Amino acid sequence: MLRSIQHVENQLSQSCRHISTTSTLCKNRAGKTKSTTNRTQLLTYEMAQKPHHLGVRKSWLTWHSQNLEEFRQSQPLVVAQDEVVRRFIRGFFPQNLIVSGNEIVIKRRGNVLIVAGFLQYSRRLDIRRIYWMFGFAEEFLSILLKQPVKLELAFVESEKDVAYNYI
Amino acid sequence: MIGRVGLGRVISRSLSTAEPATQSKITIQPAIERSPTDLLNALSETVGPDRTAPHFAYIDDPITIPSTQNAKKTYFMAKEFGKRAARELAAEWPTLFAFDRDQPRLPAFRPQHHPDPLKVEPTDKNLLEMIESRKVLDACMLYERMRSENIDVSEKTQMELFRTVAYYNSQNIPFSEWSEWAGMRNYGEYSNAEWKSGGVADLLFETLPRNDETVSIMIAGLCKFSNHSSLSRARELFKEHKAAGGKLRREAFDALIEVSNYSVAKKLIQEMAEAKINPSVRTFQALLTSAARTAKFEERIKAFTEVIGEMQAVGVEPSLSCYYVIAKNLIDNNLLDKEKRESEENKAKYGRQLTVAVSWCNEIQKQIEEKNLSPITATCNLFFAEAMGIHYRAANVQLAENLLSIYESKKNQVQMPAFTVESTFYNRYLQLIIEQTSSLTKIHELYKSMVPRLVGVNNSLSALVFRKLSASSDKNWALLRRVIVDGIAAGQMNGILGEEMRKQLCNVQLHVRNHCI
Amino acid sequence: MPKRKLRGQTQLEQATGRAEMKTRSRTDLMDRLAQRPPRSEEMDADQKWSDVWPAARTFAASVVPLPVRMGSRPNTEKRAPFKKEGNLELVKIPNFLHLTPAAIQQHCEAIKKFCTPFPPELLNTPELAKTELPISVDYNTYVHQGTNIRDIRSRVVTMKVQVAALKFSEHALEKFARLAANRYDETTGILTIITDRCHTRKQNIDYAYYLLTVLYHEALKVESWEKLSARADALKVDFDGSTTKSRLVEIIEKTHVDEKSMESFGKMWNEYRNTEETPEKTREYARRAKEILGLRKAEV
Repeated sequence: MLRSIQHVENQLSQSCRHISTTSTLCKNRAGKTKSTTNRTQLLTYEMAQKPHHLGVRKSWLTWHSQNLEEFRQSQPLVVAQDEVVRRFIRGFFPQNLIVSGNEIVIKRRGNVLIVAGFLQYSRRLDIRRIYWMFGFAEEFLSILLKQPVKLELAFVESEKDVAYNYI
Repeated sequence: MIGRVGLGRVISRSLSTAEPATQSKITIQPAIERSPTDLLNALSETVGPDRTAPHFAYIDDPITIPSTQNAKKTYFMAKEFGKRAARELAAEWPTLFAFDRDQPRLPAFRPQHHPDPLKVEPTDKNLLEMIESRKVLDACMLYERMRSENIDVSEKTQMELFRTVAYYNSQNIPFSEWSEWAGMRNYGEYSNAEWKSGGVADLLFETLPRNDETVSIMIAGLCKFSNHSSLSRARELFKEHKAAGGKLRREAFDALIEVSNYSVAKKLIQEMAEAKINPSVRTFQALLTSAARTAKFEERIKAFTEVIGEMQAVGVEPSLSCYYVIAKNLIDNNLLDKEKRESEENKAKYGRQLTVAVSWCNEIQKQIEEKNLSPITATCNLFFAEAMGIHYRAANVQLAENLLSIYESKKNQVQMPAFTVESTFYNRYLQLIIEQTSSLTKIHELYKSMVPRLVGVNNSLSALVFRKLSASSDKNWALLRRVIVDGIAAGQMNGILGEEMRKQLCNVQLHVRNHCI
Repeated sequence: MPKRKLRGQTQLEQATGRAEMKTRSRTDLMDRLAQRPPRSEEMDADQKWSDVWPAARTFAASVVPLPVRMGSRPNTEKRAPFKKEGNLELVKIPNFLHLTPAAIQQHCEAIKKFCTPFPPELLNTPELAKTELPISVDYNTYVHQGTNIRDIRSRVVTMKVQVAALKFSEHALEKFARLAANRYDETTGILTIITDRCHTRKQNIDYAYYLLTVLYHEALKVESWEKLSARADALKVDFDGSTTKSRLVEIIEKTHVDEKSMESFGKMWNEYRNTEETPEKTREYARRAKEILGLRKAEV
């Protein structure tokens, strides 16, 4: 009896598969860009500073007063609005963005929402198209968020003009 | 954010309710009354014009500042079309834009389509609303629909509709009257149509009872959108109504005067005086317009003098649009172009007419100098541009500066539209001053303050500046550089002016020559 | 055969260098040429800055004529901080270029005509406010970032009244204190009414005034049942009917103490019993007790 059970046990241990596991390497990878061998990776000032430098060496990309205690109820609203605005700019000016739209600053002053930052000339610059898109974006975002939205984006010739460092 | 208004508020309360203070030891002056916007107005008075900036409608970035007039037009229109597209989208899909957390509700961010005349309820109220919002074609469609469905339209509504339709010739309002979109208002081209016969206007004229008002309106409409048949019809109506013993309104007389020639106009004025209708500024303007049609120069001047004298006698202050009509028609049209003034006789004629024109402008400017000017008709602002044109032709710097100071003074509220008329005004002024000044530094100052903010870069201006630069003995590198940079930005490089630029650059002395021995 | 050159043919010609290459300029050449030099280069040194930057605006490198740099570098000796053009840090921070001292002075000059002078008597002697302006009403207005201007806290009204101005008699003051309970502060003599009972601020202010009026009139009334008040109903404990006095009198009758020291002891006892107890007051009690019992010499 025992011998047959032993036999079954052996068979069981031989017929199942094992997965080897190690502990996860919980390394912090946020905000770190990998360097290249020939220093072609462009770093803007934003990208060059690690996240723990926020508030020390780099400032915030959104400015509003809803982080105070009295504004608990409207905090998620503001975060959602920010995200909407950033995604809209990213999707609407595809050729003109710098580093996938990270150089956009959102400021709130009273009822007005101001989008500032930098856009580059695309490979085929068309100033009339830019004006059309600005008019459309301002009006569209204003009607969407029900508050005046002003675009104060400045133009830069190419990404190289905002390069802080190459790694 | 804490309003500590306690003391002031209470004192006003206690002083007003209690007995007049026997020994109130504190003297508090009563507050100065102010409207909600007074503070803002006072603060905005402290801000002057920024001389290097483009117009505030443009994006303030080196690549997006327009250098030429054409660029200004296209950029402005592009931005406006973008806005219109967004608004159309929002009006089409209101449920996608339903983020309704604003207190109080802001209707500015909730655009709506106008009601469709074929689908809306056919009531008087809807018709009146359409007339109110000046949707003429929609109102006509709704009216025809109501007629076809045999719904009664009250006489008052019909009268309103008739007024609107006659004023706008059964078409939508012209671009110059669009209140919302400034680009279309300034740049939209309106072909002055001819009277639409057999349209809603004629229909209403037949249905409504004939009285003074309807006949006047019809005559005015027929004359405003004039062609041969409509004018003859207007004159017939006039004669009929007079024969039937009716008394026409002043607007009908104004319209008839405007389209007839001067002698007929004078007869009409006499009839007006007999009928005891007081002439207004517009009557005199119509008179001037008809006087301006006289072909011969001397007769024209006589006619103008007569009309102005009449205005002074009656005591009506001439508006700037009257002066505009005069200024535009002082010099013969065929003498304006230089090519047509080849013969000696023509040149002499032109010279004479120009002197007369300048003296007229001098008189006019003296008249309007210290007055508070406000716009009376839509063409008032065009006077400035025309007068500046005359000063440019006559090369009269003093009068030009006088005109500029009149335009820019605080008493003047007549403003020209920014990108179209105002830029011709400043262009003529700038070219005149540059031509007549010899000091390059002064030219540089003036050029810097006006181009491209008020005046777009254009070929004649740049050519003029290059001429001045070559003619002058002292070299001003800053001015040369600025003109060349402007020229590059305006796309002048591959033409004659590009050649000129290269020539000027070759003439620039890089080193000071040492005179040895 | 078509009349044009075939693709293979043109490619061969290009490869062997025999083709006549038509050089075409960039399609966006005119737009790229339309770039103007930055405005800051042609600004006068003595221009009015408040004309250029009248209101709050994000930093525009082409407009500000100052040579600023911003950003950290590992070694500033080797490489200077990041330049002005394209610098996002300068864009992020709020700048106060619209509030230069000259601009603020201009604004003040412009607004001065709407201001009236502060009462000079109040400036010299601020204590006049207590007698001349006994009522003060406080309320807050809240400015919000966002589309909603409503805030429920803006209807709260705080009214402070100097009760001395009401000129109460002692009885009325005591009744007033009873009616107002903890709203009346004895030490400062101020009645504080905080209302947010009504929906609007105006209603709350009117309600506060109403409460004040009612309190005043009720305090002046003398009801018939008030004369039934016994020692136990009084707000403050009085020395004169207390057991301490009677006991002291017993003790002191045997030692013949005068009226004056009894009076002063009574005053101190009233104060001790009816106000907040502090170590100093307790010591004073002990001192006076020792004095009146003859254990200590009275100080002159």
